[in-house]
Amino acid sequence: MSTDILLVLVVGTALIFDFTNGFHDTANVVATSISTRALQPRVAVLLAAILNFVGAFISLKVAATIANGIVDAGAIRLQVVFAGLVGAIIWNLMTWWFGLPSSSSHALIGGVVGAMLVAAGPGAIFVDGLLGKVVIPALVAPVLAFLVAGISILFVYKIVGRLSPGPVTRGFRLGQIATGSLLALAHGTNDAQKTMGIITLALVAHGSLPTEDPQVPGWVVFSAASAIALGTYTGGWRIIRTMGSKIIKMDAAQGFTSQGSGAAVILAATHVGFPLSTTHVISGGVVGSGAAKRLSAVRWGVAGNMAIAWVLTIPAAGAMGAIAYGISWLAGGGTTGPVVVCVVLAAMILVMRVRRQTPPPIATEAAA
Amino acid sequence: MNLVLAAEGLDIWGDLGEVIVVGLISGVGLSIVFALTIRAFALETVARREGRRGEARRHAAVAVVFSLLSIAVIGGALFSMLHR
Repeated sequence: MSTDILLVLVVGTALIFDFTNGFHDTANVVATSISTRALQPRVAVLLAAILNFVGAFISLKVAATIANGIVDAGAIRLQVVFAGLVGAIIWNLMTWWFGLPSSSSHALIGGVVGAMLVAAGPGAIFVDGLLGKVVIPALVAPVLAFLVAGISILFVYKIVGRLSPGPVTRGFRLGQIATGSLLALAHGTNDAQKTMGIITLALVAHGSLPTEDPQVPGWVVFSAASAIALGTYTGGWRIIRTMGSKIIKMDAAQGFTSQGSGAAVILAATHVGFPLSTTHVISGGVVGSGAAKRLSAVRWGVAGNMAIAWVLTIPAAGAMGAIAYGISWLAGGGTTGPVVVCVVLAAMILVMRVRRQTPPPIATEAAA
Repeated sequence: MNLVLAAEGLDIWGDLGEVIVVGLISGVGLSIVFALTIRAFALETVARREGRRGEARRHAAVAVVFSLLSIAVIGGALFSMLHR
């Protein structure tokens, strides 16, 4: 009975994480399209939500045995996964509150690493894996997208620069719908897999699925797809504002090159199995397309805040995962601990909702 | 430093090089091809409006070719997503 409750808690928390992943990452897909008026805001998030939902069904390769190669898989227990998810959810909510785009995947990895560190000690963390699968890609993703978008926009301005702006803008807006759709589809395919992987792992640990070659149940696919789509439709408007208009004031050509370069880099990385963060890629692309036009066109203060959030993501989500595991352990572990953590998390979300009407000074400053 | 995750069979530097080359070529390529499509359509419109029919037809043909190329690039991206 108690393992059933723990399973329900982990599945529920995984779906909440999936939801926050959706609304946190909506900006990656729709911000540039909204900013350049390629699409109306509601239409953009609806399209992104539908394509995220469809994308979740495209591939069922559950490569997302979470933090695979980063932590000792043999030491992963449901309580660790639960605490890791809680750490990731809290970090996603905090960065959303400040309107900062940050990687949900890194938040999840950080949360699990932090919880694992407390649960099993440093021996359960593979530093090589962390370096190769997280740190190096985190450095490469924004720089590569920056270069691709920067070079692209220089060519684009050379090709269409002397033409009448009307048809050019209309053309690039049309192109943005295609590249934005590609991004949404890729996002659904990649990110919904993480939640499916977590739930499948929980079902295996519970004994509901065989340990040898477990198949992802249909309800898991459907619920993960629905959660990410619903989160996407809800839309993290604070992050959309940051990504769409606070970093650079972009024209349709810049919007197209950011999205097109982002889609190209993400798909190239996915094809060879190299893990890149959608957030890092798109942000790098946006900054690149702005900087190539004019360095002063980029609000480097906002870009700097984002970079700080990226650097902080793994340690901060890790610390929260560790605290969540600690609270759970102090409350008696087993099923009671996660229940107590759920109560604390629910109280935090309630407080954030109450305070939602009064954004902090940094958000007001960013909106100015 | 040859960083290879043996358990994953993931050669970081090899994969990284491939991502950089493929990302650069396809990202820049897509932007150039699409910009050329828009340019051809815009020039065709101007030529047609000014009554230069032969030139308009030439630009229209170029526009169709680059449109097909753009669609092929996006189709290729979809294909790689569906068959990974």
